[in-house]
Amino acid sequence: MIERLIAVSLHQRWLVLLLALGAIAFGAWNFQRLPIDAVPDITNIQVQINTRAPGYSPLETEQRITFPVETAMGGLPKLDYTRSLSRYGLSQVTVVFNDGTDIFFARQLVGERIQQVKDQLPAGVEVAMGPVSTGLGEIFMYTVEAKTGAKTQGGHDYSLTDLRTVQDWIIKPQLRNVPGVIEVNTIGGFERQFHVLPDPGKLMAYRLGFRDVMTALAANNANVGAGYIERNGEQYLVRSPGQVGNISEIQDIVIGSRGGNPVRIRDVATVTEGRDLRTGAATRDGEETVLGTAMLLIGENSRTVARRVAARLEDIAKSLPDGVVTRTVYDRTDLVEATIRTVRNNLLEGAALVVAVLFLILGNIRAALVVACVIPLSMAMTITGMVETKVSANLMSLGAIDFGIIVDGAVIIVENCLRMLAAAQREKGGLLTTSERLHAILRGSSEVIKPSLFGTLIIAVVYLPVLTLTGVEGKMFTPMALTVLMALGAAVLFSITFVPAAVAIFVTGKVSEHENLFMRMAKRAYLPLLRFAIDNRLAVAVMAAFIVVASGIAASRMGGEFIPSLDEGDVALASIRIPGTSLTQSLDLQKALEKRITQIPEVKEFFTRIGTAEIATDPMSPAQTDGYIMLKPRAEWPDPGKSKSEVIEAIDKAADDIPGSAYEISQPIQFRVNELISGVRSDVGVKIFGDDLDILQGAAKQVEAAIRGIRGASDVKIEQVAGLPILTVRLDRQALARYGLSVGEVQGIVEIAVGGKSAGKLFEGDRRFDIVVRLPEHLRGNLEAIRAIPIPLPPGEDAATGTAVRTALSASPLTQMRYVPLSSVATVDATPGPNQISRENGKRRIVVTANVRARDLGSFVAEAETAVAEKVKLPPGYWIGWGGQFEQLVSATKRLMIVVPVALLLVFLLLFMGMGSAADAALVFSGVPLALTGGVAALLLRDIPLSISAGVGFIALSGVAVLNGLVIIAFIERLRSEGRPIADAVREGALTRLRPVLMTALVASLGFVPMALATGAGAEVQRPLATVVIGGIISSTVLTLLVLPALYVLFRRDVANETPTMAPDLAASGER
Amino acid sequence: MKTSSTILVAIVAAALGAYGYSLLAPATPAHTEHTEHSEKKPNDHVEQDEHGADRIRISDVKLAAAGVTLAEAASATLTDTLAFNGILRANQEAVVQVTPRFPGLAKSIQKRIGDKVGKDDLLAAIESNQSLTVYELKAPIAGTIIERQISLGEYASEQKPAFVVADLSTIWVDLSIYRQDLRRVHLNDEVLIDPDDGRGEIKGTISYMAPIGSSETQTALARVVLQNPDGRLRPGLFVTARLILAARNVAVAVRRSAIQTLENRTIVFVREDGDKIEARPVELGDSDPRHVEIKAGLSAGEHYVAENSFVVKAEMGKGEAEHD
Repeated sequence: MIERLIAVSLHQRWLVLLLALGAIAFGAWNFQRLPIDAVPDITNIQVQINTRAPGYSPLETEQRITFPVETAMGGLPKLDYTRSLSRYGLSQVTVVFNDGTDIFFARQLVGERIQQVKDQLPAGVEVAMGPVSTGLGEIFMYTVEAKTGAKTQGGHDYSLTDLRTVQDWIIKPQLRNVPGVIEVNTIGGFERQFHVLPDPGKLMAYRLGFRDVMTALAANNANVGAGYIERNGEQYLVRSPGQVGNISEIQDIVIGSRGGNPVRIRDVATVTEGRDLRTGAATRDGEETVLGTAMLLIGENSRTVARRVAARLEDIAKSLPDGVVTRTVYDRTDLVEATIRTVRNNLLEGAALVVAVLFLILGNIRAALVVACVIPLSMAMTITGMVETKVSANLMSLGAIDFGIIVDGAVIIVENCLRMLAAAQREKGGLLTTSERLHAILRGSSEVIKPSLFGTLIIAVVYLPVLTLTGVEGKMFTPMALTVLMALGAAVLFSITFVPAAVAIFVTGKVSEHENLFMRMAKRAYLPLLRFAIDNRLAVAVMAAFIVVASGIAASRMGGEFIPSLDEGDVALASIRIPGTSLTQSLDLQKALEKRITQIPEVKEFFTRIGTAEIATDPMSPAQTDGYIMLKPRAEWPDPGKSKSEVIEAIDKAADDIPGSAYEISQPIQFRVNELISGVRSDVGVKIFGDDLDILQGAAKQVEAAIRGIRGASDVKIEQVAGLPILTVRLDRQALARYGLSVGEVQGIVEIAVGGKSAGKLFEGDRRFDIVVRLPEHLRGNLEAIRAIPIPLPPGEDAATGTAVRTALSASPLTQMRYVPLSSVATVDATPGPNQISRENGKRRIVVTANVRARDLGSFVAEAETAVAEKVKLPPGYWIGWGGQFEQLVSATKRLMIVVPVALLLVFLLLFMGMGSAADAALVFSGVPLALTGGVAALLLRDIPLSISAGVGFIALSGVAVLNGLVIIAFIERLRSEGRPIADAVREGALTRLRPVLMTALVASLGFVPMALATGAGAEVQRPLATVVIGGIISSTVLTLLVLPALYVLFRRDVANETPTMAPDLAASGER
Repeated sequence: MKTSSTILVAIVAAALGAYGYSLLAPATPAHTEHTEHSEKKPNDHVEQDEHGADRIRISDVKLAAAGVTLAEAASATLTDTLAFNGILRANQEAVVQVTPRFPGLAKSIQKRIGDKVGKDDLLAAIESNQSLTVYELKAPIAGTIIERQISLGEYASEQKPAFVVADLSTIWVDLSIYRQDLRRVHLNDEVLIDPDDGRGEIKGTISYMAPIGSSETQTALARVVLQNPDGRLRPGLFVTARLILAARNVAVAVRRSAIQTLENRTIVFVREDGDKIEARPVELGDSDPRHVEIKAGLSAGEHYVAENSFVVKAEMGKGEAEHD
C-alpha cells in the first residue's frame, strides 16, 4: 500500500508539490490563529468565588460566608476539591475541577450554586466569580501617573484619588472592551468617597442617632420616574430628580426638625471628600501609584491581546485629562517575542546546518534542499495540528522539535534514491529517461521505507509515556510530546509523498556515483576500526556492557530537577511581613525597598502590588506584596556579560539591606501560577484537619517537632494562621441591660463609628461614589478614642418615678445628655487572633511544610509518617493528611514505572515483528542503552542536572538509536539472505550503511547544536534536551557502527537455529 | 547461542533498568523551586538568651534605611488630659423667679426676654384681683430676663413665675463624669472648656463635685463656674472640656511609638552593645499623648527604638512570615 502511495505520488508529482504548497499556506494561515505564549499554562481548572465582606474579621468571614459557600459547592460533577481562605473582609473559595473540564461548564455549575446560597449570606456582601483567566492571564500592566507639575482642573496637584478616578472611570471602561481582555484589575490609590462625619455631641443635642442620619441620606438621594402623561397628542415623560450631586447638597439634606427649625446634615456633621478604607496599594520605584492589570481570557492569544491593549491605551491617552499619562510597566509581548525569536533562531540555524550536512555528505545540493523542504512542510502541518488540538505554542511545545530527527526518514529515502539513481546511471552508462528515473526512485524509496517508517513509529512509541503524565507535569510535557508526534507524523507523510515526488522533479541530470571526499575519508577511517571491532568482538561487547553499567551508575548519582523553570527575563520579588503589618507600614517598607533595588544598575523599574486588588484574584493581606523587577535590556547593562543569577544575587543582597521583611525571589508568571495552583508548594506538606484553631496549632507544633528531627528535613514551617492583632469589643450584657441597650444597637454604632457604613451613592454622570457615614478621625483613630465612642441611651422613663432621691442632677439639663462611653458597656482588648483560616474540602486545616535535601523523598516521607504517627496525638475529630510535591513525584514515578517498560516492550515487539527474530530485535535494542551512555556523558560534561527535559531527550535518543540499528541490521540480514557469510555480510552492510547512519546522526545532532548553545529566553529548557541528544547520538553512532557489528558477529552464527521466543520475555523482565 | 543471547538480553535489561531508574528515581528530587525560589531563613539571626528574651542583630545602617530612629530613655513630665462632655447652664444661684404676689391682670409689661435689667428695674404692672389696685413687679437682682411667662392683659397667677431673671455674668458648666474617670477628677483641677465657637478654650477650675450620681446615665456631675463678661457663653449649649491631670515627673519614660507587643508581652526594643537589639519586656505606668512611663525593665540612659519600632518587630518575626 505504501509502495502504491509512493507510485501515485511519483506519477502525480506536480499535484503533490502543489498540495505541499497548499499545506504550507494553510499552516501559515493557522499560525495567525495559534495561541502563542512563553511558557505552557499549568494552571488547573478552577473557579474562584470571591466574596467581599467589608469589616468582617477572619472568624466571621469563615462562619458567615466561607462555610455556606463551600458547603454549597460540595458534590458538583467533575469536582476535584475545594479549598478556601478566610481573611479580613474577604472570603475566597476556590473550586478545582478535574483536568479537562470545560471552564465555562464549571462556572455555570458554580454560578447556579452561588444563586442557591446567596440567601443564606449576610446582607451587603458581594459574591462574585473570579475572572475567566489563568496563571498566564496577567499580560499587561500599566500605571496611571501625573506628569510633574501637572494640575487638575481645580488647580491642585493630582492626588492618588484623582488618578484612581481616572483609572476607574476613563481607562478601565475602555480597556475592558478590548477583545480578549476579560477583566481589568485595579490596585492602588484611593477610591473617591464622600464622608459624612457626624459629631456625636451635636447628634445628642438634637436627640438624633446615627440611624437618623443614614435614613435621611437614603431618603433624600434618588431619582424617580413617574411614567408619562399625554398632552395635546404628545407624550410627556415624568421624572423627579432628587439625587444629590455635590457636597453642599449632601449638607443640606434635612434630618428632622426641632422647634420648627429644620435640622440639616450640616448642623450635625461635617461632609468631606475622603478616602476609602483600602485593602491594597501599589508602588513604583519608591512612589505610590495606581496600577492596572489587563487579564487575558482563557484560550486567547496573549501576544495579540497585549498588543491590542497597548494600542487601546494609546487611544485612551488622548482622552485623559491634561498631565495624566499611563505608563506600561509589564507587557507580555516582550517575553513572547523573545520566546518566538529563540525558537525561530534555533529552527533556522538547525535547518541551515541540516542542509549543509546533507550537501556535504550527499554531494547533491538539490537533494539536500528537497530534504530541507520537509522542515517547513512538517512545521506547517504541525502548526495546523496544534491549532486543531488546541495546543499552545511555547518554549516547551516547540522547543523539543529536533528537525534533525524529524527529517531522518526523508534523509534515508533520499540517500537511497540517490544511490539507486547513481547505480542505474552506471548500468545504463548515461542519463536516465523519466520513466527510468521514476522507477529507480520508486525502488530506492520502497527499499528503505519500511525501516524508515518503522524507525519513526518506534520514536513515536517512545514518546507515549510522556502522554500519560498528569497534573502539572502532564500540562508541561504533554503538549511537547503531542507536537513532536504531530511533526513526526507530518514528516512521515511527506517523506512518502512529497520527498519521492520532489526528488523526481528536482534531482535530474547526472547523479554522482562517486562518493565525495568526506565520505571517502570517513570510509577509510571506518574500515580498519570496523575490522578491529569485529576481531576483538568479545572485548568490545564487555567494554560496551561496562560503559553502560558505569553510565547507569553515574546517572543515578546525578542531581535532578523535576520541572524546569523557564527564564522569563524579569524577576518577581515578594516581600512577606509579619501578620498584622499595616498597609501604611508595608507601604513605607516597600518604598524603601524599591528605592534601594532601583539603585542596581541592571534594574529598569520596580513596581509592587501590596495587599488585595479591587478584584481579589490574589487575596493578600497588607503584609504581603508581589513585586515585579523589570530588568534593562542586556545591552544597557554595565556588564552585558553578567549572568541573570548574578543580578538576582545582587537584588537579594540589596533587599536584605531593608529590614522587616522576608523575601522570596521568583519570576512573574511562575509566581502567579504557583499562587493559583497553590495547595502545598514544598516537597512535603502535612495537613492537619480539625475544628479548633488552637488545637490545630498545637498539633502543628507537634508535627513540626517530629519532622524537624528527621534527617534531610529543611525549611520546616508551620502555616501562619495566627498573629493578627484583633481589637475585640466584648459587650457586657449586664451593663447593656442596665442601660436598656441591645447588643445590635451598640454593634451598629461601633460598625458605623470605626468602619463606616455606606449610605447610598453620589452620581457624577457615569461615575458613582459611595457616601459613607463614619465618625471623625479623632474619635475613631486609636484605642482610647474607640473606648470613648459615645453610645446614646434610649429615652429614660419618667424622672418622677425613676428617682427616689432628688439629686443634684435631676434638675440639671445634663440628663439630656444621655449617652455613655463604649468602655462602660464593653471591654476593648487587643489580642492576637487568627490571621487567616484555610479550609480544604470543607474542613479547617493547617499545614506544616518541609523541603527535603540530600535524601530521597520516598524514604523521607515513610519515616516522617511513622514519626508523626508515633509522636503526634490528636483528639477525636482531627486527622492528618499528606500532600505536597512529593505526591506528584510519586504519582508520576509510579506511572512512568509502568508506562516506560510497557513502551520499551512495545518497541521490542515492533522490532520483533519487523525483523522476525528476537535475537535481531534484541541486537537492535542494545543500541538504546548504548546511546544513553553518550547522553549521560554529555550531561556530566556540561554539568547539567537530570530533568524531565533531559528525559525527553533520552526518549528521542532511544528512537534514533533503534532507527540506526535497524537500518544496519536489516541490510545485513538482507545480505545474509542472499547467502553471504556472516563476516562478509556484516562488513559490507556496515560499510554501505555508513552514509545514511552518519547522515542521520549528523543531521540529528547538528540540528540541535544551536539549542545546546542557546542562551536566550527558554534556553534552560532546551539545553538539557539538546545536550542529551547530541551526546547520545554521537555515542550511539559510534556504537552502532562498531559495537553492533561486533555483537552481531558475536551472537549470530551462520546457522540460525535459536529460539527467539525467549527474548521478549527477558527483555520485559529486565525493566523492573 | 542461547546463553549468549541470554547474556545480551541481560545486559540490555540491566542498562534499561539503570536508565529507567535514573529517569524516575526520586533519589535526587526536584528542587527547581528552591533554586529560583530561594527562601531565606532569616530567623538565623534571632537568638534567645537565658531569660527567653529575643535578640536580633541589625546594623544602624539597616535601621536608618527603614526609617527607624533611636532615642535615649530619660525622665519626663507627663501631662495627660481627660475629655468630658458638658452643658452650659445659667448660674442657678443667680437665677431669680419673679412671681406676682397677688393674682391679677397684666396692665403693662416693660421688659422682654433678653433685656438686661438693673436691680429694682420695673418689669411689669399688674392689677390685683383682690384690691383692684395696680402694683409693680420689680427685678430683684441685676441680670438678664431669660424667661417671660406673661403677656399684656393676661391673667397672672401667683402660682407661676412671670419672669426669670438670671445674672449671666457667671455661668455654670456642668460636666458629666463617667464613673471610671471619677477617681482622677478632683476639686480645683484645671479644666479647659471649648464652647466650639472657634474662639479658643476657656480655662476654669472644678468648684463642685456632686456627691450623688445619676441613676440613668451612671455619671456624676462636676461643675466649673466661669466668668461670662461678654455673653460668649450661652446657657443650653453643649461644650466639651479637657481636664489637665496633674503633671507628674517620672524617672523613665519612652515615646509612645516605642511600645510593641511580642508574644503577648509588652516590650520595648533596646539597643545593646554592638549591633544587637533586644526585645525587652517592660512594665508600663502612666502615659500622656507623647510619652509612656516605664516602671520596670528599662533604665534611664539606655537607647531604645523610638520611631518605626514595628520594623524591628517585623524583622524579628519575618522568619515565620510566608506568602501564599
